[in-house]
Amino acid sequence: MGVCVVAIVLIATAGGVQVFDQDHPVVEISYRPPPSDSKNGTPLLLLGGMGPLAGAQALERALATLRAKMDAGESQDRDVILLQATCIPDRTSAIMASGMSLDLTASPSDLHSAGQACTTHEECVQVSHTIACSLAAAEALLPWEAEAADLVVTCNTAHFFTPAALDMLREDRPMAAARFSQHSLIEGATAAAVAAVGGSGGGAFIMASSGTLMTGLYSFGLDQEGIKSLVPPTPKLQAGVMGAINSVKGADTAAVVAHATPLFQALRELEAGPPAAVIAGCTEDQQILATLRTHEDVPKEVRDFVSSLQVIEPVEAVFNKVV
Amino acid sequence: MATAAGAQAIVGTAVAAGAGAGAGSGAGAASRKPVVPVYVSSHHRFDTMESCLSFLQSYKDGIDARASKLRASGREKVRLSSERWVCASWLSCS
Repeated sequence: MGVCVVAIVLIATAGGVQVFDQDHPVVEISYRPPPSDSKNGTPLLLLGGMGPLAGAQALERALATLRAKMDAGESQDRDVILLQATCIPDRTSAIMASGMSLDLTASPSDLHSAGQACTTHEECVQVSHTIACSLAAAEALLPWEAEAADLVVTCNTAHFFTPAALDMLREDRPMAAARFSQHSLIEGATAAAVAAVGGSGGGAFIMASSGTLMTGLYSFGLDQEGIKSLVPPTPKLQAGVMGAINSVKGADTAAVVAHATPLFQALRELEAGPPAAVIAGCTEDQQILATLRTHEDVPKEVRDFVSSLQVIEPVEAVFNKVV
Repeated sequence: MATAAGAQAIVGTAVAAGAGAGAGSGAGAASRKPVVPVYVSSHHRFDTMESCLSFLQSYKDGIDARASKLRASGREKVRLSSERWVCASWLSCS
């Protein structure tokens, strides 16, 4: 079963040249307003670059949220710093290399057990280590006078590795680690899902990388909250999600449409009806969904269907609380 | 629709515990390198939101252009079948 599914996942990216996050340089992009009495002294630090477009969009969204809250008198101006850590190895590939496979019928507890076994595997340790090294670089970007920073890692799958990365940082650079207060996309989106569908009996569809699904990052928390988590009904449709994610990284809009449309056609035709909410559980999902809502090559009924869905965007959920 | 049900643990706590054990006492901890900051190739700092957003637009256009160029180049992709994409820095990956 595992080998079969892995093969299908790979087919989604085998058709052409794939563009990786690592094809782009590591850069800092930051908004640093001049000092003032009303400025918030705690910077917001975004660890992005996974992929770079999603990281840039996260910074745009953070600034938009900050502007809106400042206009409403709810927030003070503050530094918002984005480190595009494109050096971080592919998260799903590392999880798969550790021997995990995609099983869309597995229970959250099984996924959790498998994930625990994965964390000490060489590839997973390497990802955690590179995240730790990226956090060390990010810490050096903070203003010296800032005692702490709100940290948001703008990649859902990276959350599987972040606890180990922070442990490594604490071990080698405890002063740096002590400055970070992390805000989890997973927890933020789960709380938003509870608010959106809790008590309705409806399920939340998880649109995420195979790595996120394999490790049960979302399904555990949702299940604890009594919310049914829904995933693509077949490995082929999940391969389509991965293909669409990789196509966003490759700036290939036609491929995004080709990969993602079948999934939403299938969701639209479910006998049980559409999911109560969709968790956009990969930072590329924002771009995928925007394309599906507007692209002329997407059948009109699918465009309308995607437009009608209640979408929970983890980055937005976290920014609404943190910014 | 496939359904994941029957959880017995909280993911955040459980994964954190597992990952922490991996970092601190697992096989990976013994072989891992020290934490050293990655190299940041350029810094773009702005004191107004408008200038930052303006730069972000050009940055995103640049990402698209770079990705399109890579796709058009026909570069042989790093095959996922190897599943060994473990480079530690952008420079060593290029």
